[in-house]
Amino acid sequence: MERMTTNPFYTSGIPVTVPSPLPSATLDENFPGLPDAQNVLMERELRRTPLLPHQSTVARMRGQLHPSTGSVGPLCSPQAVRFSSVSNPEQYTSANPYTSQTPSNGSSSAMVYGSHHEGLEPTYTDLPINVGPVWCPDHIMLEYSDDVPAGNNLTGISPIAATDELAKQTEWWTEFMNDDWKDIADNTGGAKTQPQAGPPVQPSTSVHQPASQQIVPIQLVEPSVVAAPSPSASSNTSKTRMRWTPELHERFVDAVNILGGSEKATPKGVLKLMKADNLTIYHVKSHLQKYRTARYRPELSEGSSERLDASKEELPSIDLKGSFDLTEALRLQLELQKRLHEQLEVQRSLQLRIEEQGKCLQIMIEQQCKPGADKVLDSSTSAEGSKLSSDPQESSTVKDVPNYSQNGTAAEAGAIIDERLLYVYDTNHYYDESL
Amino acid sequence: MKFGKRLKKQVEESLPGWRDKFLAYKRLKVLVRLVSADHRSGSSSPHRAAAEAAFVRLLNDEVDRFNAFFLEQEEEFIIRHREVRETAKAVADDEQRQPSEMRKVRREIVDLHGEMVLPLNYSAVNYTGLAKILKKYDKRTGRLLRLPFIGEVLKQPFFTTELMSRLVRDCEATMEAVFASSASRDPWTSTNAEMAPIATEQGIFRNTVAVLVAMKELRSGSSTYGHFSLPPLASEPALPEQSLLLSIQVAEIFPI
Repeated sequence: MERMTTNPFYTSGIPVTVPSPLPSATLDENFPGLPDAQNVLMERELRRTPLLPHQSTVARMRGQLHPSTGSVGPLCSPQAVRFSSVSNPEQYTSANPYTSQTPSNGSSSAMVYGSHHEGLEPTYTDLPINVGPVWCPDHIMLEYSDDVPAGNNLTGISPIAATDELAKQTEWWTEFMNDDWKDIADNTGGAKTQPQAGPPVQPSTSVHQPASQQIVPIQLVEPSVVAAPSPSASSNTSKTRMRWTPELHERFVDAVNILGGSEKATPKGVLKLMKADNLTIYHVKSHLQKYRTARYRPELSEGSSERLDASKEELPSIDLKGSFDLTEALRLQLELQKRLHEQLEVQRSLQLRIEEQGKCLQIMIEQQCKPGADKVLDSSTSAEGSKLSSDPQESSTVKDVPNYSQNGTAAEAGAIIDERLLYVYDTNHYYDESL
Repeated sequence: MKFGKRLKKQVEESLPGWRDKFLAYKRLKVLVRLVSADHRSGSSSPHRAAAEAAFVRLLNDEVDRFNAFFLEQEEEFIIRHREVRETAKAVADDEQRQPSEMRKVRREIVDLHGEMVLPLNYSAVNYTGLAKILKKYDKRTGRLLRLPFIGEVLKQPFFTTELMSRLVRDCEATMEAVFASSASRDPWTSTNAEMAPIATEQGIFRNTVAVLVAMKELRSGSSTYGHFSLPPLASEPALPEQSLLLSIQVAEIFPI
C-alpha cells in the first residue's frame, strides 16, 4: 500500500500532535502508582514483540535524556525513535515524514516557530503502549518540565522522587529558552536523526502549557484534548497553541510602537510591556516575526506602485481599460467569496444543530432505557403481548427506532439495543394504557 | 462521487501550502477496514486493539494538526487584517490618493477576504471528513466513538471559527469603506460574466470557485442520508452566479 509510506498529507512534516485522551488515561494511572503501571506495560509489551528492537533503541536514548548532558540533540532522538517504533510494528505509518522532516519545506518559519507543538508529549502517549517501563520515569520528569515554567499543575499527577531532577531539568530548560531558536537549530543540525525537530520541540513544550491557559481567559476555546470513548480528565496535558485575538494583537502593536517599531522592538521588551498572563517569549517571538513579514511586503509594494501600474504585473491577462474592468473583476471575486462564506456559515450552524439534536436524542433514549431495563426483564411477556396487538401507530414508532440506530444516533451499539428499545417503547405504551 | 475522492480533488485544487494539511481520510479508512476485518475474523484481540488504538491516535493527531494549522492561519490573518485596515484608512483619508493606490488597496482587501474564507472551508471539510469516518467506524465496529468524539471536536479551536468569521465580515466592512469613498469614480454595474474567465488567473479566486463547486457537489444529496446528514445545498435564486460558475469551470478546462 503505497499510501502508507508516502502519504502526501504528511510530507511537509509538521508534526502536530497532542496526546489523545485514551493513552493519556493510561498516563494518569501511571503516575500515582508506577509499579502497577509497569506491570501493565510489561503485559502489553509481551504482545508487541516487534517492538523489542525499538525498545532497546529507546532505552539507549533514554539514558541521554538526563539534564546533565545539557545538549539539545538527545531529546530529539526519542521522538524520532518513537515514530519509527510506533509505525513499523503496527504497520500504519506516518513514520517517514516525521523522521525525515526538514525545516526547509515550504512553511519554514512556521516550523521553526512552533507551529508543530507536539513537543515531547506525544512520545509519552505512544510509549506506554509500545515500550516497556523504562520509559516511565523520564516521561514524568519531562512532563513536569513542561509544566513548571508555565506554572501549571497537571492534575492527578503525584509528585515523585524525581523532583530534584525536575528542578535541574527546569533550569536547563529555561536556559535554552533564553537562547535564539535558530541558533540552536543551526548548531545541532545534521548530527542527529531529527536535528530540526529537536530544538523547536523543546521550547515549544513550555509554550504549550501556557497556551492552554491562555486560551481559557482570552477565548472561547477549551484547551481540552479531544476525547476518545474513555473520556479522560487530562485537558491540562493539551498542547494547543496560543490563540491570538485582535484585542491581544492590538496590545502587541501598541507595545511594539512604544518600543519604536517592528524592527527595533525585541520580544523581551514587547513581552514586558504587554504584561499579558501566560504569554511566553516564544509566542511573542513568532508573532513578531509574522508581524514583520506582514509589514515588510506592503512597504515593498507601495514603493514600486508606479512600476506596477505601468507594467501591469498583477493582472497580465487583463486588458486594463482603466480601473473600471479591474473593479468589476474584483467585485465578482468578492461576491463569490461572500457567497462561500455564507454557505460555510450556514453549513456550520446546521452541523452544530444536528449534533445537538443527536445529543438530545441520546439523552432521551438513555432515560428511556434506564427505567425500561427492569421492565424488560419482568414484563417481557406483556411486552410480547402488546407488541402483537400493537396498532399501526405503535408499530410505526417501533419501526422508527431501528432506523435511528442504523443511522448512528445514540443507540448505535447494534442489534441488542435495537431490541431493548423495542421493548422499552412497547412497555411504555403498555404503561400509558394502564394509566 | 465519494467523499474521499471529493476531498482529494479539493486538496489538489487548494493552495500548495495547504495540500498536506487536510484530513488523512484515506488512511483512516484503511484503519477502519483493518479494525473491522480483525473483528470479523475473530483474530486475537491485541491486533484489533492495536488497530483501534492507532485509529484513535490518528484521529487525535489529525485534530491537533488541524488546530495548529488553523490557529496559525488565524494569527496571520489577525495581523494582516489589521494592516490592511490601517492601509485602507490611510488611503481613504488621503486626499491626494492615486487611482493606482486605490486599486491596490482594493485588490488587497478582496484577496485578503478570499484568503480568510479558505480556513473556514478547511475547517468545514475536515469536520465533515471526521464525522464521516467516525460514522464508518461506529458502523463497522459497533462502538460508540462518534458522538463523544464529535462533541469534543465541536469545541476544538479549528472548529470554533467565530473569530475568523468576524474578521471576514470586518473585511467586508472595510471594503465598503474604501469602495464607497470613491463610488463616484467607479460605478458598480451588473456583474459581467465575461470577466469570469480572466478572473480565474488569480489564485485565491480560483480556489474559492473550486471550493464552492466542491461544496455544491458534496451537498448535492447523499445516498446514505440520515439524521446526521446535511440537507442539500439550497439552490440559489441568483442565476447569474450559476452561469458564472459554469463559465469559470469551462475556463478552467481551457485556461486562457
